[in-house]
Amino acid sequence: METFLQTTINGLASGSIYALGAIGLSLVYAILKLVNFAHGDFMTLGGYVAFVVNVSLGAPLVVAAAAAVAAIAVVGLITEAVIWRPMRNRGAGVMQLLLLSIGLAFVIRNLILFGWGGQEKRLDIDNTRTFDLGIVRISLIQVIVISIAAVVLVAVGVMLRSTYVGKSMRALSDSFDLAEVSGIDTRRVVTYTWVLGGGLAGLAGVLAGIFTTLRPDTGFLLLLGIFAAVILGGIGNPFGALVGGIALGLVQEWSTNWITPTYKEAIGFVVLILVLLFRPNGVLGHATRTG
Amino acid sequence: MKAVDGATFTVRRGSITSLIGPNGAGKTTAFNLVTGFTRADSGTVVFEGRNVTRRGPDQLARAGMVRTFQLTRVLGKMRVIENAMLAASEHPGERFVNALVPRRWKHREAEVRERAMEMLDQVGLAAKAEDYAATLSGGQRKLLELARALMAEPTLVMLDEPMAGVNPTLGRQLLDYLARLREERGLTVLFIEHDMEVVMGVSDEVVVMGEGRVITQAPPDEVRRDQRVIDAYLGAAGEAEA
Amino acid sequence: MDPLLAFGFWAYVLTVAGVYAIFVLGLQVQVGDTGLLNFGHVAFMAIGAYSLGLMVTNGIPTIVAIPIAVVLAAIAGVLLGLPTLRLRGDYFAIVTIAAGEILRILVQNRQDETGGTLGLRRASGAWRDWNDSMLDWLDGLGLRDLDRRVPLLVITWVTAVLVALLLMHIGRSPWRRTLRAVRENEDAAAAVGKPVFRLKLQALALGAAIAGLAGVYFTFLQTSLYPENFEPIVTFIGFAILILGGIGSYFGTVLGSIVIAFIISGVRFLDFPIAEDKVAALRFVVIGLIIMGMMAFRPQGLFGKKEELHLD
Repeated sequence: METFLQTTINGLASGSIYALGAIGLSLVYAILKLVNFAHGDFMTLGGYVAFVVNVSLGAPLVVAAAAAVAAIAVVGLITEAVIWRPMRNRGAGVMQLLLLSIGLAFVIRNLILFGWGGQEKRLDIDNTRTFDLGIVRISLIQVIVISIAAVVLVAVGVMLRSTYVGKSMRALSDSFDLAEVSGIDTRRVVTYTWVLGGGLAGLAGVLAGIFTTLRPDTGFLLLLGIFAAVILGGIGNPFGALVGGIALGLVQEWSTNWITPTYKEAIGFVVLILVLLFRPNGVLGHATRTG
Repeated sequence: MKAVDGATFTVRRGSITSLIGPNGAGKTTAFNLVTGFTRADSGTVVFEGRNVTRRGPDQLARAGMVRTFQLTRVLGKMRVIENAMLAASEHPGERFVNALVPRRWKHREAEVRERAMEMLDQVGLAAKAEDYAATLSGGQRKLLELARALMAEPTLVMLDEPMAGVNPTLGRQLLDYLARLREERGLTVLFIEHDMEVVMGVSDEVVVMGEGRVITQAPPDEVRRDQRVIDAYLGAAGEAEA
Repeated sequence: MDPLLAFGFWAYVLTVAGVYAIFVLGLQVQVGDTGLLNFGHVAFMAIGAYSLGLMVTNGIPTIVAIPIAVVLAAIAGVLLGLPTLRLRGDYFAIVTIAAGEILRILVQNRQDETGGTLGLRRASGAWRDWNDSMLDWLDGLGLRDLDRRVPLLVITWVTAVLVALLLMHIGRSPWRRTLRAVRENEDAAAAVGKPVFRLKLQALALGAAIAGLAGVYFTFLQTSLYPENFEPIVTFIGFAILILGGIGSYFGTVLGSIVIAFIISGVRFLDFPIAEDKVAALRFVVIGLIIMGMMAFRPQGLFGKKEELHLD
């Protein structure tokens, strides 16, 4: 029971990071039909922005996190203006955009490597403090990660459900063309999508940096798990992505109760494949026919 | 949600049967269900006396049930002639193990090419044979799909609005051609069509659908007089106006 | 060292290019011909390499182990394809990377059998002896003091060219026409009776077998195998080659391999006025820019046919 609760806490923490990454990826995927392989590297970049503000410039971590969120939202908007919109206007296919994003991922990751080198970076936070809650121990960083993620995820959920922009986003993810003819300002919604998706990616990168350490491939290594979360939740469903992310974190950590932790990552992928075998559209996805 | 529910109809061998109904009646869905492109929750499909309900679309096509699509699916990155040749049945060169041994399929390939040219000629696309199919107009794509379907030597060909966008004279010729194939080879034709003149002119039987159900199945003359059919069309039109 | 004179070094770079060429020819069958976005291609190379390594280190003669390794890679293709080929394209891409990672993590963890991160040593079996006898033979022909790397260089490229010729030969068959139809529109292919699923499975298995063969030559080149040799980045480098040379172009694959292998392994030995790890990073920035530039301005690559390119 103790180990179960302990692994649950660990799973919630890592699942929160997956979820934050997954919501942004899912929104961009659903609204812009972009399978963005650079999303993980957006996260990494967020982590490094926070590192610069927090460690190099000595500002508090909160300021650093805000800077990272803002910076990656801007990066998202820049890529939209310079790459994705022009490519869409030229009628680029889904695979074309996907492959392009792989190129972008290479560029971002290796520019980070070029700028900061390959050694691990740490944000300025006490990662040794833990609270003993009787049956389980929870570390300060787990408290931070879980509570920030919880607040942000609830806020995003409310925003998607009840604000005009949120509803427009969901309309666009159902059908871009239909939303456009029904008078939604699609361009504005696309802007918000990048601000939200990029911002969440930046935040996820900071939390990943708090949770472990930062390396140029931190985000890329999380990306496959994030994809798994998105697919588990059903593509185009941001709430599904949230649930998928938390579920993935939990399953990975719970598996360590029976299997060596070195298989943790593999367990997540096995779950992904098993789910797709039985539900080819994800757990919460609705069955749609393509083509 | 059910797009088609309780729709039963029969297509007699060697007949030309048309499937009509207002927009949203479930005609294309019925096609998808019969040809295995959409899996039905319930119901059965019987083809040439055999229950073929759970078969995949490619299996059904090889058994002789070949369809076209309302929104054409020509292979734009392949040449027009390749589109037609693709449909040839029983081609040994399409087997992986034979791919390396041209002498096992050279002969058949030449035959197929010749037949494909004839077929393209029949639909008026012979001059376009070496063009990429992506360069064809909407009407030409319909024609290519028809040629491709007939290349597969079906016993039942199912055409989803084959005349849409095709010039009327050519359309007329194609109908004649289909009628000739029926005489010569016993081809059965089932087609979805909106042009009532065409429907009443060539069909032996007409199946009328409305709101996912079959309203009636009868020869053209009877259908024309059937009050339920008139209601179905008027009802749909009324809703559209409202 | 003056790199332009270091023949052995260039032989190494070109052998790497040859291994990549074979690897990417397998991708051509899957991605170029059939439209299967296989992002786990490196796993098939890993299966070829580790099968060979595990067999020869357990006493099976190398000459027997090679064909078995290739066949095992093909079987892996079938096993992966059976459950996954019905998925939509983007899901298939993610699932294939996931499958490749599962395999790599497995290899990493089964240290007792595979050597894990410590590496599987002497995985190339009898290759060293073969290499020596070939050098002796060449010596007898009057080609004295050849670099030790020459035989593998020649054999790798002869194999790459033979595989390319084989694929071109198959490329003229009606079988490939059906693959191209599947790539463009599965429904259209199925509607005229083409067995879509079986065709995809065949293409996946053929591509996997070719990747397995690349794994065999990789093993000859490296002699020791490590799990980190088979990270997803290898597949993505393969895609960079595919994109640069042109999806659908076998000749482009060959040229793309040389260019990319030079960027990855070659520039290391040119003199830059910056630190070595920075140069390493810039290599991949360049590869990323090549992928982006090609996709933006010339998606058919250097030698692909624009009219036949399908990237939807």
